[in-house]
Amino acid sequence: MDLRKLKKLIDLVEESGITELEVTEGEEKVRIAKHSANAAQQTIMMPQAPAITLPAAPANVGAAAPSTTPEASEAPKTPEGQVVKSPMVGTFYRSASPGSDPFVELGSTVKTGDTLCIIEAMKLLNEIESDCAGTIKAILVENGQPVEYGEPLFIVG
Amino acid sequence: MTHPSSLIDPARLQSLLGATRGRFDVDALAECESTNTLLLQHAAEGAPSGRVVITDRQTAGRGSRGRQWVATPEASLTFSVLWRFNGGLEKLSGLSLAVGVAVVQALETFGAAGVALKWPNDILHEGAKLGGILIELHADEDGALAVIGIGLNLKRPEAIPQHAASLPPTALEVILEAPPERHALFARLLAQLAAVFDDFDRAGFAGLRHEWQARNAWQDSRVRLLRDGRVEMEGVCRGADEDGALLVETASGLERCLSGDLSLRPPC
Repeated sequence: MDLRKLKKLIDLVEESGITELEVTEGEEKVRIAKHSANAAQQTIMMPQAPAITLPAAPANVGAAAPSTTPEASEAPKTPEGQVVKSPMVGTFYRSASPGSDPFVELGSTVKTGDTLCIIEAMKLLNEIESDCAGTIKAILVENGQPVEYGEPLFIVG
Repeated sequence: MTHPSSLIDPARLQSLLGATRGRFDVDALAECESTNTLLLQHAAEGAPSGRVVITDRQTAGRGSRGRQWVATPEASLTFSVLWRFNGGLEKLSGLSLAVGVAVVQALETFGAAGVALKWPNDILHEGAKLGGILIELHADEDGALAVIGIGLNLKRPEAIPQHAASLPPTALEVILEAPPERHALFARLLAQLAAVFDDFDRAGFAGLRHEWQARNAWQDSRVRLLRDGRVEMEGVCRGADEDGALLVETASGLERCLSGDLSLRPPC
């Protein structure tokens, strides 16, 4: 993959709201991860090459002296699949009422339309349904925790 | 086979709906499991805005988070309204408070004074519970919809199941010397709900916020917030934010609360 293309991918991540992008082309694989919104750093890892760290700031801000030390991969590999996100701000509940069984567990098989969880805010209850069939690959939020709009809740694969 | 209600005659109700006639399609049943559950099923089958289910008796009525809502036919008014809103679910923040405003405004037209709102979804009179609201949201290809369940106590129950954490109940007959006839009350509630839904669609909760604060049970009073019976926060209730979040001024500053699992109480 040439540098121009890499630069383009970095810009893409920088401009978008996404925190991680993985691109596979033949045997080459590139992952760009933004570690935090403020101290944005992008780590690029390629097979058969040391990881390099690039400054995320625009090219004309050179004074920040970004670290160029090779870094190991920090981001754990997230399972592949459809990410179910929260449609509203609220509290995440895995069961219909305290003491009852969770709607799904890790590894549960779900059909389209199956209830995965409830998001509650100010006594507005929203049952979140799976929009695809598959297996629960990851549960990304703990029961009773607050969630933001658009926050990933489950990975269904 | 479902039997028609012996308490509500839809034709008589329609004649009382006035200008909002045609915006509601009311199904009155003798019995059903839960009006909310039934309407959610109707919604999934594509039922339009304004579909209403009222029942004399719920066999599996639900309150918040699995708590049971118990109602005897004559002593209460139990119904649910399906409404479709413009925009996504995130626009519906504060809807439970807006519905509370509509219910209290409707009661006020009959002369009920001192009916107040407890954040986020209870209707109170002198610290006792007159009614409750349970809203379930759903998004489909047409946008966001809400199934709004409302339960109002008309008569004082003979036996009161008392829980340490719950508020004592009260009823409309305690507040009004001459409570309105059931159809007249129901028609007024629906008409006021339609007006508030229109406002809410235009400006969200922000446009109704002052109406809510004027009826806030503990505006500018000291309150405690309990979670599972334990005090989580104490401070002065400053009303609701533009999205309906409760505002409490604590020793460490103004806090916003969104979770309906917090119970708001006056100080001991």
